[in-house]
Amino acid sequence: MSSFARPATQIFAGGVTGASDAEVPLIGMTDGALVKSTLDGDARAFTELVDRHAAASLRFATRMLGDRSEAEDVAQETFLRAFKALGSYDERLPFRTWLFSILINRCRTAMSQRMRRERRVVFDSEALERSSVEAAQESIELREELNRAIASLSPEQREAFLLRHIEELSYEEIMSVTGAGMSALKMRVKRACERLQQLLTEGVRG
Amino acid sequence: MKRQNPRPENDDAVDLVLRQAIAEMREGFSVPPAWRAELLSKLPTRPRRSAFVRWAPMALAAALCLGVGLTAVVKTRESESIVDAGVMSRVRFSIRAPAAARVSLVGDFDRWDPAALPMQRAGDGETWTLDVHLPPGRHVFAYAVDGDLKIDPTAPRAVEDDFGVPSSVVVVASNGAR
Amino acid sequence: MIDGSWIAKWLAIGGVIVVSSRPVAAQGSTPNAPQLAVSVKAVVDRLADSVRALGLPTDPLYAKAAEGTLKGADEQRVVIAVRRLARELSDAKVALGDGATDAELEAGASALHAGVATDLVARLGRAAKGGGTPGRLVMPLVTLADMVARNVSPQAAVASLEALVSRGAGDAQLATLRSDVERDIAAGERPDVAVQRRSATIVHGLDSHAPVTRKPPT
Repeated sequence: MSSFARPATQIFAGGVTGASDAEVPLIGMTDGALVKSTLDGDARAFTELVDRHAAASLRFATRMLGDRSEAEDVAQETFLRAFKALGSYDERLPFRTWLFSILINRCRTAMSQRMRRERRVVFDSEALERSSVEAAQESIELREELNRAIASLSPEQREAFLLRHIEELSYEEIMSVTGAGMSALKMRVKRACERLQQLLTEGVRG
Repeated sequence: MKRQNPRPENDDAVDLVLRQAIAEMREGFSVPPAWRAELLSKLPTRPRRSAFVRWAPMALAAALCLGVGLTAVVKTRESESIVDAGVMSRVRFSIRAPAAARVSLVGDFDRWDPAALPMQRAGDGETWTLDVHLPPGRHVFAYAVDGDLKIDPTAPRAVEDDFGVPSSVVVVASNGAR
Repeated sequence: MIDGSWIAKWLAIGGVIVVSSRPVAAQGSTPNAPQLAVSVKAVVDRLADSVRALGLPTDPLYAKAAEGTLKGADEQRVVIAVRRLARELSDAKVALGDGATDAELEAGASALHAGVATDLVARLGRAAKGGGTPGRLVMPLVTLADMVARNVSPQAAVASLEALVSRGAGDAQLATLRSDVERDIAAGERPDVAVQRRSATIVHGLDSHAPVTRKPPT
């Protein structure tokens, strides 16, 4: 049932042209240069920044919050705020570090909001865990265990551990994004490693 | 993914467990196209001096539309072309719904959220349209017309019938596709 | 505003479909957005974890769950559909190999869903090997799924598509094939015959004309 008159299927042949020779391909530009481009009005430059840092942002947020869709919201918010605050970015700092300081802030806000909201849901989610149908238990077993181990760390330990060992920021960078002192950070990472080792090894033996 | 079973007395073995865990946690996260599209569409435009560039990433790409109800919109300004296999293509969706008060587009690209992509009534007062940027690949969709789901009468049906309610399909070709 | 209560009925008037009702209470805090029921989300999250560990895209699982929720399916049905998709994605990866893009895996899953066996999907995947852009398998796989859904036998469909793909047939030609076959079947022709006839025409055209778009052999 064709309800309106339209020409036959229109296909526009490919023939994508690249940027003109005079333009530097985005892929070769530094993050700082991309920020500058964005501020100069080039829309694609920020898209390139997103593409460079979205995966790591999503990864950190997911591991930190333990919830993929919440992490996606937080990561989106982060990029939006970063975009609006681009004028205040100092090129001497690595862009990812600057971005992560916003991301960590958003994660902390999300966690405190969640704790206020979901105190009563904890019991329910346990019931759900029991009742939900078994998936391929074998293949997810390690991941469940890992998620639980991560979740058992205190937020400060988890944050420090993820930044150091998953996102591989230097301690100096972690200090600037979390605002914590060097020795406190090293202690948190050490404790987190010990705790994870203990939990994971117990799981292996048990 | 096989798991090791190290002896805990051995320090190296303990480190191995942790190192493996770290490797797993570092595993690459792929960026969901829908998430990316949503983010980019939310970015405010930022006119600077005389160089105004629109945010929605447009490209001289082929949007291959199965069915006459969908047409590819091609931009000819070179400054908007992007060489990238993952770039989006602009697709125009249209449905004739003269009596409708509200029409929106739902599909895998907006997680089937009727509030995400409201459509606009065209000049004739009977057709509703919306241009959307979609990544290459197969997309399942439908129109939410005043709360009822309708397929696109001119697009192919989705083969899946998991829920007893059919949907339509559009395929977007990647750049450089013939 | 699209409200959350839909009337349950079926209208068979030229493609107009009405969705069955779903209690608003089960839809989550925002009545208009198809938020997943908490228990459904829990299952999807776990499936997503294992699916991700296999290098498969997780977005389709969430999209499937959201689709079912919007269409008013009960939770059990949604979970079954999501599980099925997870399995199909996994099978598609086996059939198409590690190099397959996410879009190709989703297209492959749709072909499997339509009833094409994994070895036939693999066969089509092999036919397209040897140069070409990433994602070139999407259109052939979608066309395969569509034709099988119209009762073309999987063997005939794969054989025809194989012949086209290995000759470098483009997406446009596959789209034409699809719509021509649809028309022929609607006009009463037997599905396998329609596919063979239409694809033979394209093959003939590809063989007799200089292949402008085909890559030179390496």
